[in-house]
Amino acid sequence: VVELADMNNTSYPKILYEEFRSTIANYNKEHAVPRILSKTGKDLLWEFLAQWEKHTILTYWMKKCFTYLDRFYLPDHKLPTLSQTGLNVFKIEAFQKIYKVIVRTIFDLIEAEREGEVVDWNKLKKILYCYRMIGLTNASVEKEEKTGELVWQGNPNLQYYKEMFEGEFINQTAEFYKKQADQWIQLCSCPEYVMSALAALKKEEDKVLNFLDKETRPKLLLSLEKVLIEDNATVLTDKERTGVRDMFKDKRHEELKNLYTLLARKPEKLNNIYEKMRPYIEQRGQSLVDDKEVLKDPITFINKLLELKKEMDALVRDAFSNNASFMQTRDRAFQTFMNECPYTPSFLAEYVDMLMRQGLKGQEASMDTVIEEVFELFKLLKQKDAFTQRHQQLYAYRLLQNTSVSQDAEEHLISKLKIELGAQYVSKLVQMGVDMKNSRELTDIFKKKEHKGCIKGVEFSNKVLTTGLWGEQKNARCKLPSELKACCDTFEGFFKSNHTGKNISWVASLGDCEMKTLFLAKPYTLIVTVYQAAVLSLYNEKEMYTFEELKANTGLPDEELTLHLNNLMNPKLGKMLIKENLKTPKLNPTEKLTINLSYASGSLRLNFMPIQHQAKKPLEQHDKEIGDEAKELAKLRNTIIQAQLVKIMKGRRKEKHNELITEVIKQINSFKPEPAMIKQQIEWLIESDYLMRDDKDKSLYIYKPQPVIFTAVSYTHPTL
Amino acid sequence: GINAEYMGIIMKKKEMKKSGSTKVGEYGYALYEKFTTAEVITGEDFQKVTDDLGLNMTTDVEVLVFLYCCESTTYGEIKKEELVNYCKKLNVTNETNWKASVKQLKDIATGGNSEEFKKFHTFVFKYHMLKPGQKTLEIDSAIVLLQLVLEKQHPISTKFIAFLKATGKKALGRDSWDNLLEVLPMIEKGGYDVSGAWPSIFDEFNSWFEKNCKGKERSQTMNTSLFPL
Repeated sequence: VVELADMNNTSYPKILYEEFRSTIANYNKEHAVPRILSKTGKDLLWEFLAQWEKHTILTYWMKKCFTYLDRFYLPDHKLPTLSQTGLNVFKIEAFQKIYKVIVRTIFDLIEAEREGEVVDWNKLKKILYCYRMIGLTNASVEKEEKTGELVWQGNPNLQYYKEMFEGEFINQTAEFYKKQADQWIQLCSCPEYVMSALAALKKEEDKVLNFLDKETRPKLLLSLEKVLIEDNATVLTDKERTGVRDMFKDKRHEELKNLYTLLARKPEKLNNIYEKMRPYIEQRGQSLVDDKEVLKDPITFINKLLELKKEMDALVRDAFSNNASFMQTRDRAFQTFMNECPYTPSFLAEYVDMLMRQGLKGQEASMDTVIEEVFELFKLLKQKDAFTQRHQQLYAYRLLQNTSVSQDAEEHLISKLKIELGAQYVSKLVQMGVDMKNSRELTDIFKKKEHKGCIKGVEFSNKVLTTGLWGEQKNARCKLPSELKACCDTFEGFFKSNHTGKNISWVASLGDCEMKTLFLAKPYTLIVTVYQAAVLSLYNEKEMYTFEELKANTGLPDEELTLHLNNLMNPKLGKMLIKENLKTPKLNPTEKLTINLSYASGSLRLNFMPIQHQAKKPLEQHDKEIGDEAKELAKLRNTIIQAQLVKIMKGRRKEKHNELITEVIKQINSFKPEPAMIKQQIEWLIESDYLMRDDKDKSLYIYKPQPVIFTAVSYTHPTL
Repeated sequence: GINAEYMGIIMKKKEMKKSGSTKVGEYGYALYEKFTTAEVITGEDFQKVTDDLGLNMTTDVEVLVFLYCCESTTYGEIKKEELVNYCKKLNVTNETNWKASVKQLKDIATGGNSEEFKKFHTFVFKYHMLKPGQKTLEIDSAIVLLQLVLEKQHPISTKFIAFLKATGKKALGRDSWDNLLEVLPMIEKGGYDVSGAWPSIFDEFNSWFEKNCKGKERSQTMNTSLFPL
């Protein structure tokens, strides 16, 4: 061949090329095509396949023989390469004559498969390979290194594949599944449909991956997803007894998960699930909030709420892969019923109080984890400031009575509150902590003095706190027993020597004492309030006093005295004092109260102190407390609204009414301000000359620059 | 020498004033001397002024208009310059049109929705705030002023006064007073926007009005239609 091609006779290469071309053509014309057409059905296809493969081999080897032509003659004359020529020949002589028949036969076969026949997809794949390759330009037949297979390479052109096969295939498949879907939707339950649909999708997807061109996959899936998912999503999820609502009600999480997997392919259809999740969660929550029994005890209420949250968190995580829309729906649902219940913020604070005082007995979770969970609930509150108000109160008690299990845990929570609400809401909490620290330091110095904290035989310990920071304390005036008075005086002397100009006042109502009985057989230790100590000290002088006398000697008002006496007469602890008239609980002024000289008890250490604070109360009392706190809360809120208004107007100089209200609502996240409240504060600001209305547009407010106070500075002239 | 000349010039000027010169407002100086020799017109002298105009000092709204035209800046007093302002504004140049100026006062007071009336209305409140330590108008005074200034022009003021009494309001603020002229007609006709920027007292009045007054008006119209003339 080389010799012939090299010879300058220009006709030789041409002849060679012609030979090459016609050989292939003739073969196909005379042998391949007739043989193919002589068959039908599957055999037709397999014959075609065989011929195609033969042709590939033929082209390959012929190319190898005539390869010299490829190097010079063909490119010089702008003729197609040998491979391309081979391909073209096949196209013209064979393919274009029979491709329609082939395709129809293929579809017949696929339909048969759907009916249940087994079809050799590997072979079909190869036939379709032909369709894909037939349009190649710059084709060349090469041998694959690894497999030894012959493959066609070149510039891809899927024209035939797409026009002849792909479109029809997708339509057919979609048609088929549409019928299937219609059947399923009628006859199957929701979960059954889901499983069938998922299986179908998987099957077709696998088919495409393994046998068809990768470009087909997205188009096919689009069609299938439409008929299987989009068209039926609503009907499917709404099914009676087996649909989404029932899945939620019966807690069938596996089914929900499968449904989610199916619908997630078409995310816009997921609303069919989460829109039904919301009323479900709300209903669960509402039944909790409406339960009067549960509401009696804040701790039970919050525990149940935490449980519900955990359950829903798990549901959204396991069945719905923490999809954003689902998480949002869950949170909104919780917000709805949590905020409908007026007790939630204060109950949550009570729960925190319980946590901080008792710690986690026997629970696996760490304190931090539980605080995180509680905080998640906190974030869902609308009235966050109601929580902080109650929390501050209870925190104060915990600090004063030193009942916190872990100061770290307290500060952890405080820092989270700070991030969520800003420094102003936690400033008091922080100050209280600092106050305690200062108090400790001061009292440490006191104890290091000669008396070592022990004055006239009484071990004395106290705290020094800043007035106004700790809320109002009920503090009845009381004549202290002399020993106590001595202690107080000594400390006062110490304090005044260090802090000139400052005064201290003693809050006896928060104190407690330990007294030892010396007149009884066993040495009992009594833990009593200061007031009770005052009363009992009197009995060192006499055995019996009337109520009137006790009142005179201690200087206590009736209410306080009665409360503390009642505890000393508590039969459960063994009565330390015996009341004269045992028939009525009321104390008459002339009634005699005698010390119990034959007092006896099982334990040696007895606590007579009245209970300071109880979380569990009848609802009416909760209502009252919330009512009392509400006034304080309203004042605080007005201040915050005012501050926000000034801040916004200072920055913007001018703003319209509606925009101003919207901005205030946007900026405040510790509670939801009512437009009426904001309006009132605007009026206050107008009245106080911070704002004014524009003359022409009454709904436009203008910020009035505030007078600045200059302090005069006098300079001394250097030459004077 | 020089002093005498100087005094002579001053005497001449005084005489010119007394003869009623036509310079705008100048008559005010002469007028002032008619009523008092003191620094300001106040107390009894004030009564002289109102009597001179044929007005009742305590019950005539025209007295307030008078003060408005003076641009009075101190409660209960009229300064010399303020009387001059009055004469400038109402073109008073002699005794005749001084007495006749009462009619102009009446016109302003019954001005309804005119610009002048609006300014007068705003002045009334400001004037009562000139008393030391005043920030809002105590409700009884407010009601008196409303009756005096607004009632004849805007009958709905009567309802507003009833509302103030019924809801036990203690005082009326400047912002509320200033906006009365605009808001009251809106409430009457029913075009009041509760979500608007109006002072919240009007939100309250609006709902009170709808509850207590609208029904009655409807029933009134029904009555008249039942008895055709």
